[in-house]
Amino acid sequence: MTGGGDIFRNLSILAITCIFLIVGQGSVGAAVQAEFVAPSAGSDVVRIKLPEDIDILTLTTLAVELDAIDVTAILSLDGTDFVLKPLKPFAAGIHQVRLLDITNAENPVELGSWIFEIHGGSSSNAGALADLPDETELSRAEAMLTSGSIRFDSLTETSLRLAERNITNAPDKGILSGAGDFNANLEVGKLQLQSRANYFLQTDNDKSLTGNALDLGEYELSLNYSGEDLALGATLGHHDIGVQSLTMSGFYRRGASVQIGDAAGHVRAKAFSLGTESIAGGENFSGLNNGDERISGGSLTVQPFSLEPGALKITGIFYDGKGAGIGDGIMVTEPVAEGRGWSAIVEKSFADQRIVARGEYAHSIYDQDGDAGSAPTKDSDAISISLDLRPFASPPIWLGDTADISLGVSYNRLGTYFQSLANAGVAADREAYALYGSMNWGKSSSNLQYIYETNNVDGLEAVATDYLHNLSFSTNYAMEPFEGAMSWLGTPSVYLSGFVADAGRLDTPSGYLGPGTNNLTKSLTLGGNTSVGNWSWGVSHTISSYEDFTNTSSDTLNNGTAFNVNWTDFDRFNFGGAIQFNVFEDLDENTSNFGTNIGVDVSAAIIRDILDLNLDYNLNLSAGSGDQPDTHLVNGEIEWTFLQAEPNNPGMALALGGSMESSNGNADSADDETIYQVFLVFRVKAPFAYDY
Amino acid sequence: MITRLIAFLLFILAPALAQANVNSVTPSPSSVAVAVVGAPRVTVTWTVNRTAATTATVSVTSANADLRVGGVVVSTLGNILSQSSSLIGGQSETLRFTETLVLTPAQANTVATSDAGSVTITRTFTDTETTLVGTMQVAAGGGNTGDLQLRRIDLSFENDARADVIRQGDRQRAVARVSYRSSGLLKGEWRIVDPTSNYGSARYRILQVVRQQLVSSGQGETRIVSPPLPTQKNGLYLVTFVAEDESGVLDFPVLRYFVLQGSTEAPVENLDVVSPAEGAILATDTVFSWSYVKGAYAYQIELFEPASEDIVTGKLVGAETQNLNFSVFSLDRLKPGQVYDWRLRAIDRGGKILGVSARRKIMMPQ
Repeated sequence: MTGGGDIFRNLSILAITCIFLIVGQGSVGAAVQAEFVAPSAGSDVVRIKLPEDIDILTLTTLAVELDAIDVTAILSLDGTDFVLKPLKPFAAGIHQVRLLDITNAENPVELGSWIFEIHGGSSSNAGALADLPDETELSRAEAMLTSGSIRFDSLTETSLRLAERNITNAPDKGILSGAGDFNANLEVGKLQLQSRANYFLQTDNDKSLTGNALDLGEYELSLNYSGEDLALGATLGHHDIGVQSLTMSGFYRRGASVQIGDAAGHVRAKAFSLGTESIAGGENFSGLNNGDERISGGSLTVQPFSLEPGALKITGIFYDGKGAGIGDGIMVTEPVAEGRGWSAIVEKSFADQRIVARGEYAHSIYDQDGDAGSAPTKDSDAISISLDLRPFASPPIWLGDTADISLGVSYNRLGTYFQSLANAGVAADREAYALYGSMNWGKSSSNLQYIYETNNVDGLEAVATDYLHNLSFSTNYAMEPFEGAMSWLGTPSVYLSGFVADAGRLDTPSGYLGPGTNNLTKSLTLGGNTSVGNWSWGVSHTISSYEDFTNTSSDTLNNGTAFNVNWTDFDRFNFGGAIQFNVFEDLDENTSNFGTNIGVDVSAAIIRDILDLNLDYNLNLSAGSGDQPDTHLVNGEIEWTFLQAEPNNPGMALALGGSMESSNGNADSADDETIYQVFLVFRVKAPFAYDY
Repeated sequence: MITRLIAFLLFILAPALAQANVNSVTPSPSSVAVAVVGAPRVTVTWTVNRTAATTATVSVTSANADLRVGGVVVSTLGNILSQSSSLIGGQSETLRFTETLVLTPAQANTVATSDAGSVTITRTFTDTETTLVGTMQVAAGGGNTGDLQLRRIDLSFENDARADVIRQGDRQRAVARVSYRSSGLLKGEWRIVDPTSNYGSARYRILQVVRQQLVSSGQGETRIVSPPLPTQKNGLYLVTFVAEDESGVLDFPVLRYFVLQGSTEAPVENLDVVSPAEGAILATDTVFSWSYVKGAYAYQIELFEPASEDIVTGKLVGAETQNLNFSVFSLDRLKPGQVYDWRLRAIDRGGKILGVSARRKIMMPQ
């Protein structure tokens, strides 16, 4: 037994040694032996110890992955150790680090894989309570599956105007102002409640958001239920119901909506009532008080077969209501329009999403001035069809780089009288055929589009019909990093974009005495930007021209150049500057306008967390026809924080700031004027957060 | 006899000499095309030439403009126009009256449904002794004729809010959705009022000059994004987009945002990516590139399963670069033929997320 026991002991020692080697030093069998040093706390570094005799070339063939993220680029070298300092302290839990040999890029070899755990690391919610819940609270919460968080941040300022010059219609000398926002989330079993709101404080009512010194800004309350079979929801406040169509697009307003659907998400039905105007304040809390500024409707989305991307999806939406008829603030008294409309949308992908098809039909019934006016109610239709295609299942390889190509075609036809209260800015009365394509090839990315468009879609007899050919393109190329004498160029990317548009008359009605259409528009932009070390900068030039061969409008030529630069130490100091120079020529009137705009901004944490400086300077020069006074404007503030704000503990600060504006009239010295104002500001900053 | 003849001739001619004061009324432009929908605006300059019979100061006025169809007045437009004219007897003068007439939707519809060539806008000018009518032809359908007309500017922040409260260092941009008619050069400016100015008399400074050529066959719509807005100072900022508008009646909304201390935990989708495009194929030579983000210390590209928040793979690079490729060992974590979502994250030195880009789709080849 002694012999067998010895063998067993030796084998055990060998096994344990192997396990130690595997866990502590990485996989055996590779050329590089690495030792992992796990961080002891969330903010500690990760260290991979490499052999002291490792050469530089070998180092460049190694890569490190942290939690599936390739972090090789941000590693630092300490002797022959790879050191990874996390940008943010590691969250509590399990983390994985891998070391790989990428000498053969196509076949990387894993040299080591390590697991480490962080206990009590940084919470995913900053500003969490310093005191963690005790065991009893934890048990109770787990039993109820309850969790919640509340966060409320506010800042209140008292400002006193110390000095001023040439201020007309001066506001109050002392002003109390501020703002705050509130976020609360509560989850109880299958119910989730989410809320957010902001408020604005301004004792000078002329400068306040709504005319009230203290008032609600925007808010949203939503309650959702996620059951086994049903998903329900209700929302009150500012929101968008999330259906983009010709009938409703970008319609973020205050109102109410409810939603019901199956738990899997195959069917979702929504009913909504939203105000048509963008409002703030507590007076019209629901947003639905005014019947002349309200639409109501519903939507239904069905994905009958699958929820995979590209599966058949059918959406319908309708609305009915009243709102501002014109909506552009032009008419002194806006008529109240009455409108209703609906859209039906079908979306589907084919051939592993290589072909994406979308079709929409919309109908609108719109009375621009409602019952009070005499404009007739108009029915109108709109159609939108698009087909996007990726022609190659496997992208071709050209000159060693993958060429990813996509093509597309679309047809859009919006009737002359197509309008919607939920899509006020829609460009109607056009029938457009478009061909487009894009290609990502190596470091370049390009787009090309051709559109043929006509108006007078309804064929009104007294209306002339115009056409437009528009060919546009853009291309971007990301270069390799420059080295040696040219290293100051960093890693630049350059871009070129432009278009040519030819417009003309397609049909002129008999007896028509209006002006003709025959013009050519061209635009070309060339630019680039780069960053190197602490610097980043960019430059661009745009030349655009307009030629009207009917002489109804002037021929024009515009040249604009822009340059911007930024320096930062990524810590306490930031300097930014931008200059724009523009020359506009009216070739028919033989006049020119020159404009220069210069902006400089400096921000500095002179003493970190205690003394901060911010300075902005703007110079606007205008010369030529229609001369405007040159304007210099300086804004600045220095803030002394004498009590730091911490979660659930307010902070305080004093600031001295102001602005000065100097105008110099080139032709008329009567335009010379200097305006300044200086303020002393006392701030109270109050962040509050609670997690449960 | 001769004296009587001269007196008789003067008696006959005197009224004609006294009445021949308003010589011509010429509109510029002489013809316009108006949109058939909405409240079309017509900017016209009436050039009135008059000769004074005697030395006097008179008022040259026009009570209103008339919209006529087939010569019959269907509605009145505009307001009274008046200028004073002081001339010596026999002297002539040219006066110019510029106005912008706004047609109601009903009037625009009248123009659209009337026979071509039958619609005019007229103004009758008088110097108290004689009157003369000027006539401008009105055609229907504001296609691509005439100067660029801005129809509507809708302003919001990228998160759709109009009144926002954010944290120091957050990335904030505004978006202007501009609806327009015809074609031409949009001359606009992004303007901002800083907190140090908002405590008193608000002074706007120009953040960016915008010169953009717009084209359409009649109606068009474009989206203009502001440069990153300042968020370093605590306090209230006001931001607006203004554009040259000949009529001077377009409404320019003003957005307000207030900057609090601290940092936002939930980053807003507010970063731009250049490549690859939506739905691109992923390979080791696929280049992910993006625009510079002020204050960024590092950038991270992350890939997710669709609708999931769990990162499948990703890559982190320093701020000195704005593009990257994935290595094979990263792509080995992905399934062939599968579609993934990807996005960009910009991170500052303190680990704070400055912003993220909207998710795009990318596909692993089979």
